[in-house]
Amino acid sequence: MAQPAFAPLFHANGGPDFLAVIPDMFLDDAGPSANPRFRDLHRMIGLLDAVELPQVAHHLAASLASAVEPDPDYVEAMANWADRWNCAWVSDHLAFMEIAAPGGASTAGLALTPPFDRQILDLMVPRIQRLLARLRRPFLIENSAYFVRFEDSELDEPAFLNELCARSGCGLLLDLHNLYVNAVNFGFDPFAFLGGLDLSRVVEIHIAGGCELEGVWSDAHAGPPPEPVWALLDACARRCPNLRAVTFEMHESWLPEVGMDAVAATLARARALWPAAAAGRRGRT
Amino acid sequence: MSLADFQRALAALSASPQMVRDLRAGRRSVLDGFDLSPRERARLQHAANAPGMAAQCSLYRIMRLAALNAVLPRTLAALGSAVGPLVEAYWTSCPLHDLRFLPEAERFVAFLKRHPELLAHAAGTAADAVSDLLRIEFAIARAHRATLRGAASTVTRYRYRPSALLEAAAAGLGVLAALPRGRFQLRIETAPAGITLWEGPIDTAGQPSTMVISTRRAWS
Ligand SMILES: [Fe+2]
Repeated sequence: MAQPAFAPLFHANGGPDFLAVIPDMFLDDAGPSANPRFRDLHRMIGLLDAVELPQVAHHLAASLASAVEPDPDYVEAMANWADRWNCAWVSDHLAFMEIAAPGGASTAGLALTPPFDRQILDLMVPRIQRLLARLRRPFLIENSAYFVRFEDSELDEPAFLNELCARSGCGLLLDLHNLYVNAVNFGFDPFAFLGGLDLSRVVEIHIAGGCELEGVWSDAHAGPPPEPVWALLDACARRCPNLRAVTFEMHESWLPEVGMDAVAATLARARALWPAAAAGRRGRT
Repeated sequence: MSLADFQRALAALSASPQMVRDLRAGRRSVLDGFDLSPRERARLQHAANAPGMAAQCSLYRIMRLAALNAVLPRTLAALGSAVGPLVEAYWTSCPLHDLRFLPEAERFVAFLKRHPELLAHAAGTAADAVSDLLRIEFAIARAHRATLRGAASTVTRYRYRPSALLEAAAAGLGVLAALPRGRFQLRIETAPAGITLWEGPIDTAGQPSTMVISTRRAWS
């Protein structure tokens, strides 16, 4: 993930092969009435100007599962960013943040996962189709971590994701730590989850570490992945024929505690899995 | 409006541990302000009962506090643990968040201006100093934003020397309360390259005796 504290690693031996950039951190939103509305945060943009690594864009606020339509200015900013940095693909989460409120739309303060219902599918499919048409490049939806799960959802999560990808034409950003968080907190088998997922849709995988929060496991991006996440990566990467990238997500605020050596070691371990995974994918196709 | 109201109610639950407690205790009237189907009501009850709801409420607080801390770090540091009741009151009044940090902080500043009794209760004898510190930090943050638009100059007045407040903030409320009072003026010059701050006591003619006290690099 492209954050200033990791910059020394971008140029180092064993550094990342590409950057997953959260454009929301690099742009200043001056509000709906401003023109231009989104402007560069120069200190942050300098980070990207200084490296020549390929980029993918990972957004936070498209709010595709919201009852209110995505903000057209934000969608435009997504497309402009992807064009400007020639991003191989663009992604956002299966979540809603925008809330329809009496005083106009505002946000929930955190990303919330909807029930896996047909109503949500029917809302998201045309939104993603329009997004794909505007982006003119692949769009991936990421499975979210959640603390509340609606057991009476009309579909299970893998079926929901499969149908969303098939009907909209988007790909899947499979976050294995999010899957681990949900499996730990709700007591299901993450390998069975993977068994139900159409892995041919997976283009990118996220790995990360978390921490305990109020008695549950959270997706805090707090450091290297726990061993069960490595086991999930080992089990599924070779079964994803269209996988193009594994991204290590970590928030820079944890760096003093974790140390740059541990970050580099995580990249090295993920990279070491790659040849085996690539061979496995070749063997299956 | 059912889906929209369901999502708004789920967001409201994350914002309000009290609402979670009310639902857990069977006080379903807390959902009366939302247009909900029976299934949505049952789902919100399930959400309130979920073991992960406490984490969801905490995450909401972490996210919203981070937004305020990005704009007002010295004010929050000065208040220390006294910030808790202030932000809880603010979040009860404004449960929906603004992803743009500056307008979010502006709303918080305006909320405290409307409720001086909250700041008085939280900061005690340092309330005036914290109120000035809050205004100074917000004015500086707004000036940083304005550097994206070009040159400008603003002048604001305070009861404490701005540089003294900014430097003493991390020491806490006791130190702020002991700072000498007076009549001070802060001029913020904004240019594309950054901002420059000037401060001085207001003399009898109402003119500041100016002195460069910082640049963007030092206090950004
Ligand atoms: Fe992720």
